[in-house]
Amino acid sequence: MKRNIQIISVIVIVIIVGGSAFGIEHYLNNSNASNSSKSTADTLTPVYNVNVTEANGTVESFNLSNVGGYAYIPSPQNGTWDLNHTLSRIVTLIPSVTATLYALHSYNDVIGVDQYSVYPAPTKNVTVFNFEIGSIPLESITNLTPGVVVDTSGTFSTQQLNQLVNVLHIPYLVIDPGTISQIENQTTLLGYLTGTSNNANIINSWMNYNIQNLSNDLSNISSSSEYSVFYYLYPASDGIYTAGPGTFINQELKDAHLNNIVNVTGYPVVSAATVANANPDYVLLDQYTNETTLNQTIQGLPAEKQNHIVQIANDDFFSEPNFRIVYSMYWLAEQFYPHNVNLSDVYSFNKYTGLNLSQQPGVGVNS
Amino acid sequence: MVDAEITENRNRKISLFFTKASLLVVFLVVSVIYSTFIGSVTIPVQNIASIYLKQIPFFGNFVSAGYTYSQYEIVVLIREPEVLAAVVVGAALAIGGTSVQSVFRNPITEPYIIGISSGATLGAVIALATSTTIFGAYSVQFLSFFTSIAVVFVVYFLSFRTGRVPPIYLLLTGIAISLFISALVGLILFSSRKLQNEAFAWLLGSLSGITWQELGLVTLLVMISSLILGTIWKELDALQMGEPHARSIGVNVEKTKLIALTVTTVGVSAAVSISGLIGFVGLVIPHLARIVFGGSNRKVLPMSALFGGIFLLISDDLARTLVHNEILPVGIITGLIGVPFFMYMLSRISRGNYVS
Repeated sequence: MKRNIQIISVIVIVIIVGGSAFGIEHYLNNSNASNSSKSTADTLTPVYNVNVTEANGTVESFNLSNVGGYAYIPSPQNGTWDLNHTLSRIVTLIPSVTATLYALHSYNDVIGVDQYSVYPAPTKNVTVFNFEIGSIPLESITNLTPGVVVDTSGTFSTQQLNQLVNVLHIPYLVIDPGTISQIENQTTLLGYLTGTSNNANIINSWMNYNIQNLSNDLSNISSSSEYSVFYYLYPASDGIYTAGPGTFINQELKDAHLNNIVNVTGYPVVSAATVANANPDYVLLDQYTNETTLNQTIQGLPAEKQNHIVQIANDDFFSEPNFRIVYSMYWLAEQFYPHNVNLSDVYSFNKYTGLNLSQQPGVGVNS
Repeated sequence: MVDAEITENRNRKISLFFTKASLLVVFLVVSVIYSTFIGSVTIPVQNIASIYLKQIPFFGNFVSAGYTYSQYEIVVLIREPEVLAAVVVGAALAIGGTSVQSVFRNPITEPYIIGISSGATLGAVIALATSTTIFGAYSVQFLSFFTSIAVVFVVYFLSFRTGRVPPIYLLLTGIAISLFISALVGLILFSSRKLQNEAFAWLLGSLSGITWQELGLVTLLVMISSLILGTIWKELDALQMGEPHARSIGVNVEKTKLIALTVTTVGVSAAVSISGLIGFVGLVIPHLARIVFGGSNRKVLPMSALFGGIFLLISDDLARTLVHNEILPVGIITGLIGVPFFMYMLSRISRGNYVS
């Protein structure tokens, strides 16, 4: 018993000493942070409010929750990211943000993109980060001296984020829109951040105009005559990845008057038996899913037997949350209701917005 | 005549040891310097040299800055802490392996066997799952350190048998508790697919993103634990010969085991808390040191540290440069290098050329 107490005492002392050392370090860093704006802040607390002072002196406030996001910034004060200038030198690791910045006429501010940002085709001045099997070296990002890194979460480890934000003092902005209204908010936010609010409003107006037109074109299709579909994203070990309510993909389907058989929110994994039980009229296959890899149960479905399998022609439009999903909606509607909708019905982006993009945003949706 | 021969022989051995050790030290220093010159961003050699000189107190004021600020940040804030962390973590794992192998008298054990890795993983996963900021940006590191020590304590406590901790019980309890905790970790990870990505990076081990603050603290803990282990090398040597032998020459076996495992746990837990799980260093490197320097812990402990530091440094260099503009998890590299070496070593053991 005495020995046990000794052991416990030794280990408790070690834990306390170790813990205190971490704690002291933490305390010292916080003290430094309060003394110097350039010192280590030692925190990774998400910030949800951003205030941007535009060139004309107007202050635009935005809640990042409205784009499913947040920000980590050096030395956060009162939970708000105060930007007294618009952002430049942007590294964007999200294709949808890259495309939106291009549409906003802010692509000159982009200095780095991820390898999936293919619209617009990267210019010579833009560094393309390929990170198929590892993570991006922070030194490659630091070398670009970015004003902000825009990303969805998960690219960097917590340790790397700490170094990026608190040691290298580079703000990290996460954007992850889940609905069409959040996609419009994303355009609005990026407009604020780059001083192109007017362009953001025009782009959102173009989106709404086309979505309304699509709704009008499909108005004679009653809910009972809508096709039911299952979206086959890719196979998982325990089922099939798909998209359910609360996602912009579900909204795309809905606006194209298609009835998603999945009623689990987000991007769940559903079993093949669940799909078989729902017996969808059509299986909507992701662009990168090979038909031969379909789960056996799916292969036995009446939809499969009747060859009711529609493969997404271009995932860049369908699964990237930005203004270009309008083309995807029309493409979908054309596949299922060709008498009502034609892809060419999308009102010209350049004509409507006057933004005259040299790389047309709708090119490639059906190829 | 015989005395002179013995003395000469001893002097020759000492000289040989210092030659080998000096070569290792030189190789380590050269590797450290070289490692700061390589990376995904190419920085001119003269600029890196200027950055080095600029960091020397007082003297640095007279060095003209012919480099950009981002180059300074890359070398001083990114490469230097990562390179030194590789040395410290590698040394901690190797010394921990040497200690644990001596305590267990088992050549295929490593520090992770007593629950350090599973405990650290549990702490890291809890921190990631709860997004706790109780210790600011270092919450993952702190919790992994804390739970790692706590788990080893539980393993040790459960291994108690009538006032003793028989190595076989410690080993089996360590394995059992580790499996239990792995199941818990699996359960937590299963609840969130997003969490799986974050935990994945930690499980594969990485030295990317280590800051000077955490490196300083971990270095301190690793140095203290290593020095303490160094003071009990004789007792560890005796344990290596078996507990009955150790007792027969007056070694307090239980006390030695307790000290060895406690300080090993502190050192390795501190290292793992900033690096994640890096395998094979603690298993393989002590054997390498024994092959080169013989079986006594007087030499094996410090030489394991040197070998461990060099091995992890080279592995990290490969992880940073094998694929252009990408960082691979260093745990993958150590595994890829470590397994073939381990198999080679096993074949030597089976031929009787090497006894741990």
